[in-house]
Amino acid sequence: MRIPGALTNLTVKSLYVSVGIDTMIRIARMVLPDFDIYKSSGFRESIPIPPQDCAATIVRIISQEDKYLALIEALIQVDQDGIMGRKYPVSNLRDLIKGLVQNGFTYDPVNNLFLEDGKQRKTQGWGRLREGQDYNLSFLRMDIVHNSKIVRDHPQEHLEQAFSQLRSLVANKVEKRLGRIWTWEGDGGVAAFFYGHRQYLGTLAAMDILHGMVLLNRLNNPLKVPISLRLAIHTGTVKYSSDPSIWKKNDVIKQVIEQEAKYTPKDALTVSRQTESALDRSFAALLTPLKTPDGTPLFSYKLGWETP
Amino acid sequence: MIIHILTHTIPESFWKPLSKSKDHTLIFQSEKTLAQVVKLMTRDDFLYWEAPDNDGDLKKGLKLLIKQEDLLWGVLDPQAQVKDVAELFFQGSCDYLGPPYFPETLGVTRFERMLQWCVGLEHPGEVPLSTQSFDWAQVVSGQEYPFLFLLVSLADTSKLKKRFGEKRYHQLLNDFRTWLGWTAQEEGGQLWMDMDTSFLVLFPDSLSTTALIYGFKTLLSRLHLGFEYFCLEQPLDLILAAHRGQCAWHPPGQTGNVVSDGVNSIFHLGQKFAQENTLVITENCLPLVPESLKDLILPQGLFEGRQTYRFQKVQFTWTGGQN
Repeated sequence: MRIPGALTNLTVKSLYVSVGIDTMIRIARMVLPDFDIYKSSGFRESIPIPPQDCAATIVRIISQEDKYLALIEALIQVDQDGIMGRKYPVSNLRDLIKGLVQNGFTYDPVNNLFLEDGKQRKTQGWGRLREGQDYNLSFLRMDIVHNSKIVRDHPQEHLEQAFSQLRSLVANKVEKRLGRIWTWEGDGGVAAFFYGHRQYLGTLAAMDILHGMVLLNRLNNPLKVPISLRLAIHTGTVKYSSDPSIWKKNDVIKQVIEQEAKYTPKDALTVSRQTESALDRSFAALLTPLKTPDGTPLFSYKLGWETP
Repeated sequence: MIIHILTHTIPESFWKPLSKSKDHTLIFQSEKTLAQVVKLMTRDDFLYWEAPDNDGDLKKGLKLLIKQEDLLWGVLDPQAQVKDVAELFFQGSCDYLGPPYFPETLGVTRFERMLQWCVGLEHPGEVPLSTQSFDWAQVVSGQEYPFLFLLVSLADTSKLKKRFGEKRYHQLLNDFRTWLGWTAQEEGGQLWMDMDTSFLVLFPDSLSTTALIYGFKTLLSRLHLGFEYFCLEQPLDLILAAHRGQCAWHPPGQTGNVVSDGVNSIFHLGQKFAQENTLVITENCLPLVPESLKDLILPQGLFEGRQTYRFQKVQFTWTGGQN
C-alpha cells in the first residue's frame, strides 16, 4: 500500500518524540522480528544513531515490507499496554489513525487491527491478510436446500430474481458485520469473519440471514416454493490464500462443509463447539445442543413460531 | 334474524313487538344453559341474556360470552347487576337494557338500530385505503389526514431500569428513539410523539401495508436489537400495536394539544391490551396485511368495541423439531 508522505513523516516524529532508540528498535521487532537497525540504516555499530534517523529507517523499512499498518497497530498496543510494565504514551496517535481512516482504512479496536474500509473497497483478505500466513477465522457455510430441483422447476427469469435477492441479503448481513463472502456459487457459498469478535459476528450474521429469509420467502420470493438454507459456522486456523483451489482444501473449511451437509437441518444454523465456546453465555443460551448420530458436539439455532 | 332469548324474570309481553316482526324469529331458551345456547348459535343469530342475580353466575356467564368473538349478544339487566356497563360494551356486548330506562317492550326500530350499529362495529375493517397523495414536506399543521398509527413500546422497562441503572436506561431509551425514528423514516413514517417508553409512529394511510410489514420486521429484529445494537444480553422486549384513523397533524414536539380518537385508541390498545413481543392490529388494518403473512395472524378478541388480531410470536430459541 502507498502511504502518503505526510503520514510517514508524522509516524517518524511520533516514534522519536515518544520513545528512545532501544524502544524504537523493540517496536520495530514487534513487526519485523529480524529487524537490524545497523544493517538497514548503514550506520556502523560503533556510531550512535540519531533518534530521527533511527525512526526514519524503521518507518522506511517497514513500509517497504508492506507492514506499515502493523507498525501503527504496534504503536497503539504500546500506547495502551506499555512495554515490560512501563508506560509509553505515543504522541500523535490520534492523527495517525485519522490519517489511515482518510486513506481508506477502518480500525477494529477489539483486535487492534486496521482493515480496509468496506465502503470504499471489499477484498477477500480485508486488504490485510497475507498469502501463506496462518490466521484464525470463523467460516459460515451456506447451502440452498434442493437447489437442483428449484433450478429445474422454475423459469430462468424467476430464478435470477430470487437468487439475486438471496445473494444481496447474504452480502448485506455478512458485510455489515465485517465479514467477507469468499465464494458464492449456484447452491450456496462460504463467508469468512476475521475482524471484531469473529465468532459472535459470524453467528449473528447467520441468525440475521435466517430471519431475513422469512421476509424474503413471504414477501419477495417469485418462486413457487420457499427457499430454504442450511447454515453452519465453524472457527479455526487456516493458511490464507486468495486461490479457492488452495483454501478449499483446508481442514477447517472441509469441516464446516461437512457440518452443514451432514448435521444441519433445513432453515437452521449449526454452530461448532469451537465457535460456541467463544460466545458470551447469555448469547450462547439461544443455541440448543444438537444430538448428532456420531456424537459430534454441535449447537443449533432455528427460528420458531408460537403454536396457536 | 334468529333471536335467542335466555331470561327468567322478563315477561313475554316485553318481546311482543319483535315477535310480530316478519324479519325476526324469537326462540325462548329458558330450559337451556347459556353454554348450550351459545353452542347452538350461528354468526347470524343474536342472543339476549338476562343477568343472573348471583354475582358468581353473572361473572361466569359474561366470561363465556366475552369469549364468543363471532357472536352477537346483549344483556338484559332489570335488577342492575352489572356494575360497569361501559366495560360490557368494550368486551363485546352489542346491547344493554337496565334500570332506570328498562322499557316495557323492546321495539323493532330500537332493536334494528342497535343491530346496525353493532354489525357496523363488526366490519369496520372495510375502511377503504386512502389513495390521497402524501408528502411529509407538504403536510400542513392542524390539517386532518388518514394515518396508520404504529405504537412501539419497550416492554418490562422496570426490569431494564433495575438491571442497567437509571443512566444507562435513559441512554437506551434515547438510542431506541433514534433507531426507531431513523428506520421508520426509511419506510415513509414519522416518529411523531413519545410518552415515557412508548413511541408513536405515523404512516400515511396509503403506506399502511408497508407500515405493517415494518412492524413485523421489527419483531423479527428483536434478537439483534437486544444483543447487537443495545448490548442488553437478551432480545429486546417490545409491544407493538397498529390502528388506522384520522388525526390532525402537528409537527413532532408540538403535539401537546392533539385531541384525537385515533391517537387515544392506539395508546389504549398498546398500553392496556397488547401483549409483549407481538404486533396487535385492529380490524381496520387486517385487510392490509399482505396475504403471505396472513397465516401468522391470530384473533385477539375485542378491545373497546374493536375486533383485534395479532401476529404469532417469534421464538428465538429452538428446542428441536422437524428436519
